[in-house]
Order: sequence, then structure tokens, then C-alpha cells
Amino acid sequence: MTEVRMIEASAVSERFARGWHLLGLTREYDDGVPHSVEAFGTKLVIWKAASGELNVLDAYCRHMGGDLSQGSIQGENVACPFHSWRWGGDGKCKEIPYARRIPPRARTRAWQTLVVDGQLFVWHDPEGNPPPEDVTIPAIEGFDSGEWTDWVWDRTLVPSSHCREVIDNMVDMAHFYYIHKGLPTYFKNVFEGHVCTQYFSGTTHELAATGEPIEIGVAEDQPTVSDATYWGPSYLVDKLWTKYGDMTFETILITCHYPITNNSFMLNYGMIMKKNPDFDDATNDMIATKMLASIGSGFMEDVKIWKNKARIDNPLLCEEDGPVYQLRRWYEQFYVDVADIAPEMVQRFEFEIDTTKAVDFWQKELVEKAAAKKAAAEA
Amino acid sequence: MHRVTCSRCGTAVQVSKNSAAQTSIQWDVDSSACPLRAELSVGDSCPALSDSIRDAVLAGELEVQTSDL
Repeated sequence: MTEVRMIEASAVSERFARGWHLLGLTREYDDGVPHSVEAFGTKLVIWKAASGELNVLDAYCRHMGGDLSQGSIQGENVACPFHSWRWGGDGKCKEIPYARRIPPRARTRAWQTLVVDGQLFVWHDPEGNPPPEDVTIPAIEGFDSGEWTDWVWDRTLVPSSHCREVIDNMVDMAHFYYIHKGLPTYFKNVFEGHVCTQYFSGTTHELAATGEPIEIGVAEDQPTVSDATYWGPSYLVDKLWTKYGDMTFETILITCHYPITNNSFMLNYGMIMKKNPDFDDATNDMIATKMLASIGSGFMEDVKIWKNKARIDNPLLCEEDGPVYQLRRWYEQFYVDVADIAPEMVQRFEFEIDTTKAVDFWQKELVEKAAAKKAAAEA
Repeated sequence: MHRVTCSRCGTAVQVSKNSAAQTSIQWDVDSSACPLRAELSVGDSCPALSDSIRDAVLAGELEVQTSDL
């Protein structure tokens, strides 16, 4: 009997990744009320204190379980809607208006926060350690220079997948053709330490369909050039150059997520665009908004795949696929204790794909489709 | 994987190639052993190492071969 390949899938890890996770933009919390985020298997409360500091605590009050995110901001503290217990950003109960004294053990879980370029992050570590100094979120060069638009931002809930699915995309060269109407001509990954990079250059279905010869293996000067890096398990910074006709738009696209449960996550994505001096600010903002909407509809295609696909631990790969196993080995470092990080999870690994056959086949396919469409229109 | 030693700095890494354009490089030493590493961005391959890999292919020491994954 011929042997058939079977899909293997272990149970989804109960554990959430160690690392910085973006919750939202700081401007979302300026409205004077506490906000809630369901994340890491629980609910968090985020509030901006009178001093301007953003604080994040477990949302469920340790008194009787009230939801602090339904309460109110009282100076520096958040007040529970149930009995008005007041909690500080350090996790300590600061005041119980109706009580003579605060119980000595009145302390809840405070989440270490980080604000970078208008983005709010929390640190998650199942071992409870603070972030190492070299594990941080890089600031964007010139973010405040006035050369960039403000953030355009959106998010979507992925209801029944582990966030490993979004990480897998880092090495998935061919899905850019089948899912995102792209046509990669150069594709390379590098993993090292807590950082994972994807170099991508390519063209689009529309341009390839013209039959104009496509340069293969060239990293620069393509209609799309992308240099994307995960800083830890969940925050991807993509320096992206997109050509439309004679114009090139330089953008920084953030794709990031936080786990809600171990089988659902919130995908956040946003961008800033280098302002084109030929346009006024409103036009630049409008272009950025449209570009993000187009990228967002691309993510919806990913989500559709994720909603319907099987979890697979033993993908069957061809030579034109990227290094899925090495990527997952890298990703695993965030799910084990620091003491258990194996050298091969963090040692440098570089992988460049040969796109020759793929580009040749895909362009032929697009040219044929365009010809068939034209013939049908003329018939 | 085949061990390739960089002719510039002597750092040895594991390399495999399944075509002329495809390259896979697994470092099993700290990449700071490469004196050029600090000046390169994380995604850049060391040009001296890339030259040494090309030389190893030309010399027949590193065979371009398919491998099942």
C-alpha cells in the first residue's frame, strides 16, 4: 500500500509568548475613561492617569471581581464600578473610600508598559521577569520630524487560530502570489536572537500581466521593496516602498498582534507614510488611508485562509517554500523558559529562495489570463 | 549541510544550496565572530562569506543538490 502523508498537530500551547505586545495607539486612551482589552487569557484595563501616564492592570478587581474597565478614572487611579476600590498603576490598592484601612495584601497584577512613537506596549513574561535591556521596540527614525503622516490604524479579530499562523507568513513566499496579488522576485529570511527578518522584492499581478520582462533575484528597484523585521514574537516593522507609475511611496507598516486566548488573537496593523512634498497633508493622509485599506483587505484574505485551514506541525515543503521549520524553531524561544532557550533557536540562520521557476510560471499564467479576458471582452 | 570557512575571517558556518540562486546558511557560532557583522544590517549576508560560498561551489567542495525537507 502506498504511504500517504498525514497532518500532525499537537495541542495548542497553553502558554503565551514572552515579549512586548502592542495593545493600541496612545491616542485611543485620551478620552478620560478606562479602556478594556481582552488579552493573554484575561481582561486588562488601560487608563491614562491625571499625570498623563498610561497604566495597565488586570481588569478584574481583586476585591469582588468587578471589571475596572467599566469604572472611572479618579486622578492617578482607576476606580472599580462595583465598590469604588481605587487602584494605582503600580498594582496597589490606594484607597477604599468607605473603609478605615486598606488590607495589606491588596495588590493586583500591573503590566509593565512601554510607549514608542505613539504606540502602547505591555511586557508579558510567564516567568515574571522584567524585559532584558536589549529586548525592546525600536523607535522610528524621524518619527517626530514632520516628514511622516500620523498613524493610520486598524485591527481585526482572528477568532479561531493560534498566532503562529501569522508568524508563518514571514517565510511563505508563494502565498504572496496566491493571496496578496503580489509576485515575489527576491525573497530572503534571516533569524537571529529575538529578531526575524524578511527581505522581499517583487511586482504585482497587474504589472506582470503586461508581459514586460521581470528581473529575477534583484532586491532593489522593483515595484515593491520590503524590509520587514519582527522585534520579538509579535511586532513586525515593515519598511515598504511601493511604486505607482512614476511615484514611489515610502511607508512604515506595522503588523502586530496580541493573543486573546491560546486560539484567538487580535491583529493590529497601521502605517505612517513619508509625506509627498507635491501634496498637502490632507492628501497625504488620504493616500495613507487608502493604502492601509488595501493592505487591510489583503489581511482579510489571510484571515479567510486561517479560519478554514488545519493547524499543521509537519508541513510538507518544496524547494520554493521558505524555511518554515527553522522559523518555528526561532519562534519557540518565546514559549519556553529563558533557561531552556536552545542555541539553535537563536543562532543566526539565513535562507534565500530561488524564485526563477515561480516567477516564470506566474508571469505566464497572468499573461494567459489577461489574454483570455481580453478575448472574452472582444467576443 | 557543508561547512564553509570564510576566507576573510576564518569563521566556519554550515551551508547548503539546492540551486545556484538558493542558499541556506546555519551559523553554529555567534555571528559576532564575523568582523563585518557589526557594520551590516541584520538581514544582510556578509559579502566576504558569500564570496567564500561561491568559491566553494566553483571548487566543487559545496555541491548544489536537492534535499527533501
